[in-house]
Amino acid sequence: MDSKQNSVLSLFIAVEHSLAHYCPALDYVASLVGNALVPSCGFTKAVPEVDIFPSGIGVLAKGHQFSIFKKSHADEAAKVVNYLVSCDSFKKFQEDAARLREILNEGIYLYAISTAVLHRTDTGGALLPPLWQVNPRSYFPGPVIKRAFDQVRRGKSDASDGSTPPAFTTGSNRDPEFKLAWWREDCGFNAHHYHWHQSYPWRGVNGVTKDRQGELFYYMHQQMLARYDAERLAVGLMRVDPYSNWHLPIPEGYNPQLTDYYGAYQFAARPAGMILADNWRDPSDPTLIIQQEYHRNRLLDAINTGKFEKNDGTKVDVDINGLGAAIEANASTPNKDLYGSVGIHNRGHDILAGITDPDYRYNQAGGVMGDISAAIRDPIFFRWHKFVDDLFFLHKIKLAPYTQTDLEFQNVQVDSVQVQVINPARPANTLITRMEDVVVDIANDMFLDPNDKPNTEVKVTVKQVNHDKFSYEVGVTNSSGAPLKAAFRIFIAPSLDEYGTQYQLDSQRRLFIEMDKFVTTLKTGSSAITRSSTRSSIIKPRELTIAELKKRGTTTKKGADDGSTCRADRYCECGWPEHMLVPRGTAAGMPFDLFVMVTNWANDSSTDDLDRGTSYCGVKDKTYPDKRPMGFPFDRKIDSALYKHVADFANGFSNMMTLPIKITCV
Amino acid sequence: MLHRKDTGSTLLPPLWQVNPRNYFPGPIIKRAFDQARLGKSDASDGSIPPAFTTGSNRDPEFKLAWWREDCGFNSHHYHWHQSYPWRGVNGVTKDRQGELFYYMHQQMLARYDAERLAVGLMRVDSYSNWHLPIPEGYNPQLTDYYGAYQFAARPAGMILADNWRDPSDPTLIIQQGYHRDRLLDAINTGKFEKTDGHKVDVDINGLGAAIEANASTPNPDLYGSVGIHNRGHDILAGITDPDYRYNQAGGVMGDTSAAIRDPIFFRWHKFVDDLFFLHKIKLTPYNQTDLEFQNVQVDSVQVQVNDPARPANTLITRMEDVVVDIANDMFLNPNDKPNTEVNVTVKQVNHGRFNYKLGVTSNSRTPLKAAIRIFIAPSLDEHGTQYQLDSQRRLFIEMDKFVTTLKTGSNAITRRSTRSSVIKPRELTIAELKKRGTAAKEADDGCACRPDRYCECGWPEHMLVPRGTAAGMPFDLFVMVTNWANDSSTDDLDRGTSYCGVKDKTYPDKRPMGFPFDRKIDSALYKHVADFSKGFSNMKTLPIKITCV
Repeated sequence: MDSKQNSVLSLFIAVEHSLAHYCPALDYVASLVGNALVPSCGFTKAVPEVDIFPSGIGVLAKGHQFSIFKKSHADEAAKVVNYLVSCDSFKKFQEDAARLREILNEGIYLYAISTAVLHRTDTGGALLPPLWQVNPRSYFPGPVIKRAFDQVRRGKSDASDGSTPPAFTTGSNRDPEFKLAWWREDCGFNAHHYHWHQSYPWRGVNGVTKDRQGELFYYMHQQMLARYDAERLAVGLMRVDPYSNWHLPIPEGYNPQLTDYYGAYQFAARPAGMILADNWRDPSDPTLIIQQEYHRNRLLDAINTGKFEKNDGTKVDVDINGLGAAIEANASTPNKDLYGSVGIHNRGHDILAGITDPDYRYNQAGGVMGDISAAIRDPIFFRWHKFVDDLFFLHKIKLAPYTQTDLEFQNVQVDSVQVQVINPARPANTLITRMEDVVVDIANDMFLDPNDKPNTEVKVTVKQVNHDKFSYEVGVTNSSGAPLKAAFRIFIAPSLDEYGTQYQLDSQRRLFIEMDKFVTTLKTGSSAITRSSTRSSIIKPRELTIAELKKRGTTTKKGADDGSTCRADRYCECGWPEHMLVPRGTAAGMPFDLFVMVTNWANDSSTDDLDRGTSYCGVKDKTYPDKRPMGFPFDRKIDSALYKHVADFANGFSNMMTLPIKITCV
Repeated sequence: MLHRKDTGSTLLPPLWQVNPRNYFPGPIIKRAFDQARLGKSDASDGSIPPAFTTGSNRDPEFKLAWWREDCGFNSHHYHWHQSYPWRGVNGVTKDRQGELFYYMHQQMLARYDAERLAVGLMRVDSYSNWHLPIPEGYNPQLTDYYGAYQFAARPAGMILADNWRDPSDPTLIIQQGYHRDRLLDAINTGKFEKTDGHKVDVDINGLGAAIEANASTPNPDLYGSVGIHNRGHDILAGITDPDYRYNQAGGVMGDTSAAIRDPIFFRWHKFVDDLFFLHKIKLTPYNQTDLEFQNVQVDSVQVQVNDPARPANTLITRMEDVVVDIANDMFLNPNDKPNTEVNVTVKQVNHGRFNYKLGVTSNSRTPLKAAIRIFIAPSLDEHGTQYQLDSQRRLFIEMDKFVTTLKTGSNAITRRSTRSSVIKPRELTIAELKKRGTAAKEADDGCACRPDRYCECGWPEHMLVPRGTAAGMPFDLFVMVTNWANDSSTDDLDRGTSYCGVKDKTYPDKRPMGFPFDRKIDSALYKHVADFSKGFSNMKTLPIKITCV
């Protein structure tokens, strides 16, 4: 048994409950810090040793909604993270984390403890438990939670009941956006988004941001949008519209149906037709529309002139990383005064989360937009991020298009490309998707008696997209006379627009979805390269449940496919959910263009750490493995006169190839 | 159970015990459930949650959350509507049901305005323009069990929209406008048009039937089969998700157990009350014969709280912590015994019990059965100006109505506040009901309920007296004595009957409800209420103060 893994798991037992309310959690804390803290399990209030922690920790009271997009909340969370990351031993970390449990707001505790686990270097590959097991009320709507709790009470599981609740309940056939509830409300997707933000906290870790954090902020969210648009086109919706006019009603509403424990607070439902209002929910730190507009104009000024103005008045060039830092804004922002100390992006989340009760007049909890574990459920998330992405776009279209030298890989030629699903009876070049029922266990949070053992089984059935595993088969010829280390870059994008017209490349390029990026050595002559979809550089394999993590061995083997492998230098929890790798497509088969490009890894490589999850999530405390701009080669303008369609582009270079494929949802 | 005749004097359990999630916000329910889990009660914890959590100091309406969210008040409103179902019982409405619909709600508004004036708010504004944003929002924080659904929070600034939540029976604003105009047509012409085309006179009972609409409506096609009133609740309840696009539960306006929590309830009912008002002001003012009681003279009026150290003619109110047990709904295991104690502390207004002391002289040679009618109303308007009677009359709150026999000569009458005809005594809890004997004794402990009463209906006793102000808020107390020999329909005046009537009998008092303040009073004749009472020997006005300590 891996003691560090179990220690990590123990930090998350029933985290929404007071220690005194749940004996297994309290016993664990007492085992670390002694019985003096909490003499016995019961209703006696624990006496926390607050004095050992820096000031500013324990400010946000329990029971209040935590939002990383609020400055005061983010400040407190950053203090806790920095403190815990700096603990000089794992034992000290473990003890202080246990002490903090009674002190911190539940949301800050969950965020800060798990963030510290991610950033410490001594956790020995221990994985975090799945968020939807730790905090099911932010992942499953009220009716599902009620049903689950009724099961706990009866000691019976789902199967014995007979009736099946609907998988998605946040909309209806009057709501066009509800067509993609299955996508926006996917547990793994929501967990990915949460983990990305804790792998790359906007406040930094000890005030320091990670390598290319600003650019990764841009790219990870840009890819979410590209994938969202592919799903929208598949179900007959228009591509997502930016939320750029902040004075008109928002036609799309959203009713999350999520609560914290027992409905003590409910994420606000956002009715259709609401108009943004200045957010005074924190009177000491308002989010004003005029300030958002000021920062927007300052960002446009930087984008249009190509120069940021620093605090001392000097100018520095705008690059994508600096622009991401300024927009989010992360701890490396070029100028907090001009571009925002909390950032136009973070404040946008905050102001939209508060739209139903902007001055906290009615004591109403905020909407999901304020919570990174649930924000992407709301259609406005994507409209907001489309606005943010448009800022990046305005910068990128000012850059010179890539040149021949940037794009070519001399002496390398892609001869053939094919994709084949595992079932050989299926035709080549057709990917297969389906909706599946998946049973998940959310027992961690459900107990009746303070002495109940944790993790009695409580099963909930969710509906998820999945796909048949498949392989890329690429034929490549190396005529250089020597072996070459080559990076394979694989993308797909919908071939047709809303009206069934073939996309021109300069429009289509924003829709290209990175599917994989891997390095292989090309021997001289022709090579037949087969790459399994399960190795994709964007994905995170299925998360291990708490029960599975307990059973898991201590070794962190490299190369296995069961998800139990995580090198200690990875953000293993971050990554696109494997089951969502392939866009769902349509029943009739939706045409996509698959694009393969081979580049010279000898020039491109920063580290040799390309692996699962690294495309969107990077490598822990190392540089991003690929030196090329993220999204290359589609991140810059492509001249329509030269390359009208993607096939024209690929035909222009021997190291590229385009393949028309179909994605069929069965 | 309310309408069966064979339940003896069985009382219903308090609704806030049966269905606490409709009466207490989520944070309180969570806390209570934690207690149930731990098997420990509130007291051992130490921390006290705030009593009211649905607003803040940015919300002016939150000043009266304590009033609108009172459990007893909400349960009164629920019980009134189940005592007088709009669909009738077996399709038949009760005696004067339409008029009682008018009067019970009119009195709620009068009391609401008294509370609003006390806390510095303007009197409630009618929600009559259905096309403008509604500035007041409301966040009920109520769920059903475990948050399976949540009553919708209604943000500030929403605009009414056609309600298609039930596609087979939409509530359309144009239809509401149509029925409103048809009702105005009836009010303005004094005639309802029946389904067969012939006309009948409009009276207050028929108008109430048409507006609510109850099963006795004169014409469901013209005045609405569901009723402008009911549809108004429905359309406002659905305002945040009018076509059920987002599968969002409705607001509290759709539930009689919680509707009065939302400030829009009172704005809506002010609109409804204005329709009744338009009818009433077309009626001829009461004449001398209507108002006088020959040979009877009110010599003196005094009110005195039970504590003799307190000055006369000052009523005393206070906010109190009251512990209620909501364990009925909390269980962990299917085999758990019900009714383990789970205590929740709520804040309620209460008042020092008091007596009315009246001196009345009868010059009749024979004893007279007399009805004593007691009202109060705020003396001063929003700006501290004394009310003229024709404005003040809509603010008069019925405090009591009782029958006594006047002997010849002078009579000293003492009447206890606890006997008020508007109140329901404190509800017995489930535990108390279990202990209660079967005898229906006439006692003051709430056990007394004659089988012919709607015992669960009635203004909560603890809310009898408006809260007033710390400085002492001036009210006019008005006493009128009338001839019960003429007025009486039954001799069943008792606690609760003023707003709730008597089960399956006629309303005890033949006078129009709200008499004598329901009709126009000529300002040229009677500028202030004191002028009015000086005009008649059987009336008297007493300036009193209500002090919140």
